[in-house]
Amino acid sequence: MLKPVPLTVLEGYEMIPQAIISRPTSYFAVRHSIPFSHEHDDLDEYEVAAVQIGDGLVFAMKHYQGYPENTTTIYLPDRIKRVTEISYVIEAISRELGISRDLIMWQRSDDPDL
Amino acid sequence: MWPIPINPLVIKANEIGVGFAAAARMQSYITAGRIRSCVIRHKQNNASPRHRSVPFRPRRRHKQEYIGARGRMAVGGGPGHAPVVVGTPGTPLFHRVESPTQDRAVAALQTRSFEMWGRPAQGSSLPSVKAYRNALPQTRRGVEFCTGSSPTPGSGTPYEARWYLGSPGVFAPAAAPRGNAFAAISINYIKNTQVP
Repeated sequence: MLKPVPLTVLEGYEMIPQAIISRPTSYFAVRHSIPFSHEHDDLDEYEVAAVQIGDGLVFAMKHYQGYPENTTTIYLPDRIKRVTEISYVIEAISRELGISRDLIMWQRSDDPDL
Repeated sequence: MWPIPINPLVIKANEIGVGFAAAARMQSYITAGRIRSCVIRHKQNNASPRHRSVPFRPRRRHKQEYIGARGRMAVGGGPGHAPVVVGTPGTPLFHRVESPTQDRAVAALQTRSFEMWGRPAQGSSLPSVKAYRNALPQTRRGVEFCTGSSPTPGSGTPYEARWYLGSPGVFAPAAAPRGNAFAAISINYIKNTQVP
């Protein structure tokens, strides 16, 4: 089950980009009622939402303006380091989001050293 | 029109060329001849131009920073708002775009210091330098740069790169404001389009 949470829940976490989905943030905003907010950092301006899945794991969904259009990137806490563990979590998130595997245009296991 | 006839063999080195002028005596007949009509204020002779004609004007910029043959330009841009380029572009290219935290002052500082700095991401306490992994799009303002430091493995995507403290070539800048955590990398090329 997906549960949108305030961005303050991400405080204290270093969030690492681990997968890119070929769907815009608006897709998830409408389909899962996830509220995205507009923020900025050193890199660029972006849309972001914090979401919790069933087991309590919190992840971020972001779209930086410089990323390809109609994409959303999944950011996981940096304590999830092993590629196999990352792939497992991404698969669980995809299932919760209701997206098929072919909509994942890139994930960590494709380029572990990137 | 000319008070003294022009003899190209007596033109100064900075007007024609060092090799050519070396054989001639360093006398500025042209300058003397032109100024004569200006110095004598009571003799208003508008027929004599006060400035040298365009072909004989020095090529060096006398009031602004010199633009060298290697492309080094004055920080802050010229009057035409052309990009400020320092160094020679290589690969891979990275870029950042203009934002409230990547404003014109920051871009000028990056150009002067030849360093890219980064704060912790929102909610994090780990400072990192963040950039896109390609050339700056022509439609956006920002800075494009090259660095000899590789991004921290396992922290980026095909579009995004990050350099964390502890990775080779990443350092905590000594000039960082007290109480603020920054990571920084040295760069060897920058194109700043956040001008003026």
